[in-house]
Amino acid sequence: MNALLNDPIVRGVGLPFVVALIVALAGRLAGATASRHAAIGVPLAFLATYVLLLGWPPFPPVSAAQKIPYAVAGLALVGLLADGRLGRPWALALAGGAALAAALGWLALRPLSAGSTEALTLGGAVLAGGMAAFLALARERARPAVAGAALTAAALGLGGIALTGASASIAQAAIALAAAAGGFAVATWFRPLVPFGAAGIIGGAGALALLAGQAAFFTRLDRTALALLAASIPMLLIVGRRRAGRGPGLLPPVVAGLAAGIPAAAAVAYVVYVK
Amino acid sequence: MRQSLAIAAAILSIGTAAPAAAADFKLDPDHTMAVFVVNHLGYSNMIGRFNDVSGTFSFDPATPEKAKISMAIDTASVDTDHKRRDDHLRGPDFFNAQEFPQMTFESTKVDVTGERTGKVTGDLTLLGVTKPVTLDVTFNKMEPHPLPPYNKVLTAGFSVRGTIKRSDFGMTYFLPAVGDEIQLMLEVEGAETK
Repeated sequence: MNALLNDPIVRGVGLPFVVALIVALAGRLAGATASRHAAIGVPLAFLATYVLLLGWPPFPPVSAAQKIPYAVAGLALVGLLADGRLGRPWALALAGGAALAAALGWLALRPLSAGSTEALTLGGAVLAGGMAAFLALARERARPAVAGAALTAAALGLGGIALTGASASIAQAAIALAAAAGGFAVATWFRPLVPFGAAGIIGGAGALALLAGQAAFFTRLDRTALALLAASIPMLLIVGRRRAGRGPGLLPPVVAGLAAGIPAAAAVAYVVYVK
Repeated sequence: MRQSLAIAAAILSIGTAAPAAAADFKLDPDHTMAVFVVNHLGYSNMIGRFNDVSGTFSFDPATPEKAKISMAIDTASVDTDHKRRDDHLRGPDFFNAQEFPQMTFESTKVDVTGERTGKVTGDLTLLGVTKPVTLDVTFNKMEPHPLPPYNKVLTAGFSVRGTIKRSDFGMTYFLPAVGDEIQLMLEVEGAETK
């Protein structure tokens, strides 16, 4: 059992996939109120994997990497509080945006307090991308597999571009997030058992934005690639209106994943072949 | 005769006055090297260095226990003679050079252990974490520099050795595959500042 848990694939991909999948199924069994919050399985699975990969962060945390688990927990909590209270997608995007702005500011406290305008600009760009993702996912709350598939594709994209030289730990964390979102998407693919609630939107896409923020602030990861990646989840706003991406069924999550995967794959290709 | 006496006096003044006084020194970056050794997957020990080291120290051979040293190393200057590995070492997985551009050492105590050896204890700050570390120091030489570019400036040199655990400073990624214990080797030369 110990050897199994130490296997990097099991630990970094299998564990978050299974945890998010089980929480989604358990949320359905636990009743209407609990099912509303079941998408918290995505940030929970991410957090469990992050701690396994990088160790339990000290408190107070010193580096951005150590702040991320606390920030993701905070964002998931904001999502839990918003679940059922904020019905309109833009209201959820604004609430999530406020929480994400605070988290990004904390992450970049060192350069921001040194008066870095570059950090301020990058933070603003990551915040805008995060809020666009919140809005796009909030519009797909009732189609959880669609939202989960888009988050999976975007997180895989970040994992891909981080792997090309920015940071193996950011890549591993992003791939773990992709696995968590994938587990949730699979659990809800055949039937939308539970919604992709605000805890999953703000906690899950918030985790993605924070990892992208860490890469933008503290690595030499190409900013063009990050900008391409920012278009990934908002692709839902386009495909949701197309025939293949509309309505229930098994096809829309696949279409959503592929559509979100286009900017993500373009970002990876840009880093690998253009840079 | 008068000229010979003047030369003799000059030589004597160099030979006697310099070592007797406590002096402040600035690290000579051309002759100061900060080298580290870390185990790689148990197969081998990788060697790296930092190319940008700066600092000052004060030292009097008569009272070495009163010596003080302050050093700063630019973590982005890490160099293992492999560009991709160096880029990785500069990133958040290891030295996180954009978030924490410098590591510093400030001595707090010197214990004399032999005629030319001692232990320097000080605060090492790496990745924003400050921990006390103790390093073994050997005093090599303190004399006016013999070569022309240095203009007979009083120069002191030391060899420093020690071991730290990177996990103590929050550098936990790739543990235990990339070793936790880091051997440090510093060769230090400083020129007197007046």
